[in-house]
Amino acid sequence: MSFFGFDTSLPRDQPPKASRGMFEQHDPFGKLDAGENGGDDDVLDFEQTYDGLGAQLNETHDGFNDDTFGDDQPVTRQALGRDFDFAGNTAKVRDTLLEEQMLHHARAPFQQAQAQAVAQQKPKKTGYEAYKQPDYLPKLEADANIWGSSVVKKGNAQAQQQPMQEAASTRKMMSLEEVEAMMREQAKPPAPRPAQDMEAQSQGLRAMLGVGSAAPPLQPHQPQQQQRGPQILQRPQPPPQQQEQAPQPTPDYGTRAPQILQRQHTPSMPQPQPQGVQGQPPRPLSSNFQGSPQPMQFQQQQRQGPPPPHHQQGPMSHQRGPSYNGPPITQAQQMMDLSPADREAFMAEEARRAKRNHKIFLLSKNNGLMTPQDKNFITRIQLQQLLTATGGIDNDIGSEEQLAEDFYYQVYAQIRGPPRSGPGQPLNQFAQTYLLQTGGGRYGYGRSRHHPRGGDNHVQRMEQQVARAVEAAKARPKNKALVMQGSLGKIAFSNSKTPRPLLNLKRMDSEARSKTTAKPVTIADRKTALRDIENLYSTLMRMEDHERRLPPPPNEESSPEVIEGHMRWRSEMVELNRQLWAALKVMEPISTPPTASHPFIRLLSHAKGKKALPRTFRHLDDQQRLTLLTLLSIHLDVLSVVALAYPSADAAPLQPAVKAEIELFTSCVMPPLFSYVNEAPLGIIIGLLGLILERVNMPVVARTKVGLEVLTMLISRAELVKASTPPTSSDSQQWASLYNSLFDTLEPLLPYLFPYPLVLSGEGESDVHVWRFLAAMGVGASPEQQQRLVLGVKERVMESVGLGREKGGEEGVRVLGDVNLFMRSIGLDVGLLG
Amino acid sequence: MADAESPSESATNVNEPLDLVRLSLNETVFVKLRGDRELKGRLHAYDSHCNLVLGEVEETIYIFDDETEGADEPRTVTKNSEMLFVRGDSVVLISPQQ
Repeated sequence: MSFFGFDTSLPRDQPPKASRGMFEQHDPFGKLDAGENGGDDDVLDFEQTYDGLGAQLNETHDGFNDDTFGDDQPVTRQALGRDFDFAGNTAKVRDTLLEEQMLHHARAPFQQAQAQAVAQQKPKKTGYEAYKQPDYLPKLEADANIWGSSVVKKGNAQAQQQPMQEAASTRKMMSLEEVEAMMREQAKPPAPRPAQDMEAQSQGLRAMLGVGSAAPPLQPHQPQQQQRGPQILQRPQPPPQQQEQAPQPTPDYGTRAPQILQRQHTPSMPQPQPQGVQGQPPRPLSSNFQGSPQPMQFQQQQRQGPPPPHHQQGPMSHQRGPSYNGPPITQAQQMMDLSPADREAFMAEEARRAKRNHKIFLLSKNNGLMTPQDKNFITRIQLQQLLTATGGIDNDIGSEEQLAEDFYYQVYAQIRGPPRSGPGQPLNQFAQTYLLQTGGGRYGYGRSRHHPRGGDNHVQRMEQQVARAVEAAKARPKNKALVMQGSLGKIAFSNSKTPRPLLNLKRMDSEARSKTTAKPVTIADRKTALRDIENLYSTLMRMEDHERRLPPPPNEESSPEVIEGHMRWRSEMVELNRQLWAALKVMEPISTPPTASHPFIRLLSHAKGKKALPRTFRHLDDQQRLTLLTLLSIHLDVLSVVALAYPSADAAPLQPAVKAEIELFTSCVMPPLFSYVNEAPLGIIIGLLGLILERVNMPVVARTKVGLEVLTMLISRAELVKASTPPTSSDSQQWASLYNSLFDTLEPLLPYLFPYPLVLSGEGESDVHVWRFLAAMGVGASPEQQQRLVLGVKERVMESVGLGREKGGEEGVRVLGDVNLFMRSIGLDVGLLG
Repeated sequence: MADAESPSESATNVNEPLDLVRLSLNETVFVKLRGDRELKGRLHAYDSHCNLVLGEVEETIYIFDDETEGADEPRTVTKNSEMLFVRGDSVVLISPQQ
């Protein structure tokens, strides 16, 4: 007992505590640890903490210090810097090692004894063993734990390289057990084939003597250090020549790995069962390996397929990865007496497994790159983007800002109609949809399957974060500036989308500007037309934009504000319509005779002008449409699509550009006109046709596609209306006289209506529009007129019928059908002809 | 089209040079590029960086051979593309065609 009441009993006097297993011998700080845990309140004393290592030091046997530290060599990079780059060095000088070994075999068997002697001198501790362990190295690196990652992978990377390289070059892999067993074997002096050990030792010798400096500083202490697993990595691989001795039943460990591979590839080949030392139960020491940085070896083991049977016995099996504990092992044992079919099935399964493992390996290559903190960070950024990208909550739903952010989506959603919630969709709903999608996706499912809690957590956290972000954004004041009570200034809020305005300049109002400047005479040039078109488009877009903001229709119960809002919207619409009408330039003064220089006609001479017309047309009221149509009719012969399409004397086909313009006109401008005409009363048709007859160069119109189509449109509508109204009405009589004059005007043109000879018309230059026009004319014609009509186009009819019959097939039927359009209208049929 | 006169049009105010480029939308334009290249095509879109999207483009590359330097005409290579994105930093000039 001590004076102060300390427990003075020495550790050796204390009752033995629970065994700490392998750590029992050297645990210099174990006591410290125990004290911290409160398990042992002993005061630290020297006896306890001193592990007696000093006594074990043998100061005299420092013969290998030079070898270790290389201080007798010049301080070069190789000598100094690469000492612990074992994997790299070994891989680099592997070939050299192999050569050395072969040389050695060829050269000096007598050295073996000597080397053996040297080797036996070695069981001395230098105190620097720790530095020779590769697994000592990782400790110098940054601990991955500081990133919150529990996986210590970094240190392995280096160690993994070597096996990978070797596997690639020699297809020869040694499992952990094999290497261990090999070392055990080396520990026995009378080993059957100690060549490798000899080689290693002689390497050490040579290194000591400074010979063979190409080799990296090898560890000359192999036998002593076989307990240290990681050093396997430093071992030179046996030369390939040894592999050829595979069938020998001797426990030649260098050949075992190839056997494994052979087994994998040609499973039916009977293998000699290795006997002897290999069967020994491994020493419990092997548990050392579990903590050592060699998971790669385990992986390889798994991929090698069934290891030799003796590996499945004994306590060693606990080293295997958990995935290998099941059926494969038993199957491997039965491999020898499996039926070929079974073996095949087994091999197939193995191949699948290998494939899967490989896939997992590929997938897991980047595992752990991002820590949970990193992921959180990214998630937060994405959430922020999500909130701001949809216009944020700062912007009112359906507001300009929100629309501007994602115009095409909003419009698309609007077009898609009610099932989608459209632009009015509240943000959090949007966010939820988004989240549900990601949560329900394949990724989410896969995650939750493997990490049920983790996956759910992630989605949940995400949802919570969105909810919180939405709340926070809502709580933020709506207006961009907050005036605190009692303060003198304002606090301005800004975000990336609406930065705080530093300058506030008033843009000159376009209205005001246009009013101040006198309107000069419009020069009909190309630039003006282009400008008009852009002007039209701007107005059109403002109009469409305004249309999108249509408030819900008011009813009796609506509050005054709603009704007022609606009224305001309407008045704005009227104003916009006025602007649009002005932009369309229809009301510009018409020069006499009408020329193509009219702004509206010039507008239509550009492709984009044509495209704008259908969009504009729906915003116009009836009167405006009629005006537009009237203007168009007056200028029918100077329209670019008519004037440029007038067939030349040599019947050369139209230029592709002109053709494209005509196509565009037919598909863009005609439909709205047609739909208007189709509802127009007879009076309007009469008026329009009268204008055309009166003011337009008829031959030009009649010989072009667009002109004929306009005529057809008007005539057919008139015929339809006439059929449904009594012929006694004034309109009908007016129409009859108009038709007669039209017929008289057109009759001399009839042979020339077809712009091209028949040969050409067969090749893409369809003349169906002419037949259609003739049909429209024929319907309303008197019998006498019908005869004149037939006479006028008789030649073409006969030609076409002949061609159609000659061609036959689809083409012929089409040609005949076109002709029949006209024939039927006058009560005939191509079938009646010759 | 370089002149910005005719303030007559109320909506198409020419506030910046690119407003003039807007007039050439959907029209054939001639574009000169750095590196002795010229394009001729339909202007589909542009932005403030003069990034352009052109359709039906005919690209002409002028190659000046070092050896035959002097009076000789540069060799030209012509390429046709259906659609072309032109990065704005290479655009030297845009001009309406015709």
